[in-house]
Amino acid sequence: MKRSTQWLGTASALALAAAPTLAAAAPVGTAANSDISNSVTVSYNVGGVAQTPITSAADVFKVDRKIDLVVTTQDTSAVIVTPGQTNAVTTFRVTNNSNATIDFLLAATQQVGGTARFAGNDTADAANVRVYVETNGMAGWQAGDSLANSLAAVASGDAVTVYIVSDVPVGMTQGQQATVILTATAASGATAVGGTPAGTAGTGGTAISQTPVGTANGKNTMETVFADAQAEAQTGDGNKDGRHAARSDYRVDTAQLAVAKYSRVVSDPFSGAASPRAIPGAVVEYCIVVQNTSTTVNATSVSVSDTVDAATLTSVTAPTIGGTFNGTDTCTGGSGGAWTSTAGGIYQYSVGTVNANSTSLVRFQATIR
Amino acid sequence: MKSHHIIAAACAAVLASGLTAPAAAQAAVALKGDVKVVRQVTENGRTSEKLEDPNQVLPGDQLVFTTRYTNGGNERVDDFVVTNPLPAPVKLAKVDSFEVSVDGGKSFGALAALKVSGADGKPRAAELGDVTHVRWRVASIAPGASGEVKYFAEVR
Repeated sequence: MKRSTQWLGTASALALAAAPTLAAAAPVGTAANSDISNSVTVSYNVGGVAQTPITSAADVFKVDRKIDLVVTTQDTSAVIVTPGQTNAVTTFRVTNNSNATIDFLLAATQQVGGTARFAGNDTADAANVRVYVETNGMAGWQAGDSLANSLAAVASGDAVTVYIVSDVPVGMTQGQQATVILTATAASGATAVGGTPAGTAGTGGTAISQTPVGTANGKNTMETVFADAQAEAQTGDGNKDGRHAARSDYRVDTAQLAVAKYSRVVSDPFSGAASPRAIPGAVVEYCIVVQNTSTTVNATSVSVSDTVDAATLTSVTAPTIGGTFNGTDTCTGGSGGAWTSTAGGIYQYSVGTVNANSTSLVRFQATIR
Repeated sequence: MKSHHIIAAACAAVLASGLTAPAAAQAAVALKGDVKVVRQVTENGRTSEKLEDPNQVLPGDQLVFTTRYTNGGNERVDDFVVTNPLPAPVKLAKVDSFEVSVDGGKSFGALAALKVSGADGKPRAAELGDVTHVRWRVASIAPGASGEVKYFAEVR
């Protein structure tokens, strides 16, 4: 027990170095509420005599608060899921490009139809959609990251990793996609979640309002101005509305296996291999083709069960696994593999892994009684 | 000669208290600073620049700082030198007919001729962002005459 604890400690320390929770960066622009104070000093002569230099009164005004944020997905293609999978993870990043430290409200929503983020369309919805903030310093989502509905006190220029974690309904079928949207809204009043790094997970908070257009602007007051861009149309985000959003997709892709069995007579006791006929004593070669039509997911631990009719066939040989299929009836190549036979002529062959978009073969021979 | 001294000193005292030229006294030089935000305004497809009061100022905004001077005295003012330290949150937006300093006001010259110590410790050509002060020289101001000096800057 002690040993395993130490191991965990070591692993997380390593991950911490590799994947900082918070990407700290230089502040974006002059901090809001800073004063800009300008004054000049003048020296001059009158009648050839230097006069006491004079300094003008300082002209002072405040830099206002510019609210700007960007949400991006860190996924580069749809996240592949299987029906019934729990805790499927899409990854986002929220960057504070404001000139002030602010909070963000986080919301995960589902897209309703339309073009998906990466390819194809949104055709289904995920379930149990939650928002987590990266807080444990280990790359990727773990249950130890923080379930949160806001980010508290993100400094100007900093970026935080946020995950949308969902369950995949059992009813989702091959190729269906569920697009999720992460929206971050500039806010204030969020409370940091205890035990998390500064500038990450928070709870509560209320959206910041822009200083209304009609309000008299004060030279010496800090106004709030929205400067954020508009995100993709499907997110419903607007231009300069104090929020920004990004999307990512879940796509169901499971191993899709198809199996077919081919046979050919390879020799008979009279003509040999020259022109064999399926007569008693002839040797028949069987080829079982296992095809995985999934484009992305490998099938592992595949085994093929084949029943040989003991009334008509005998002398079943050891199989070869793998090799190539000529498309009609002939397998070649392959190498020996594990197999078992049980009563009733049931043969079980271990094919192992069938990669996405590829086939594997089982080849054996039997003799006609 | 001595009286001039007294007048100048009185004037400086008044200015320091934040007022412009006093009504009664014979003021020598009065200064008045002003700052505006330069907005690009597009109307009917034509873009023009418009100056606004600095009520709403955000990083990246262009500012123009102006100092007006008036010789309120009855003698000519010579060798008039206006030194303006740049406020820390702004950087010079363009060079103009003034000298600049990149060393906190110790030395002045044309920006192109100045060098600063780079990140690697070696001298490199000074850039707009390195400017700490600007300075104008006006040879003389006739009694009652006025003028203005200005520089453009960008909020960092």
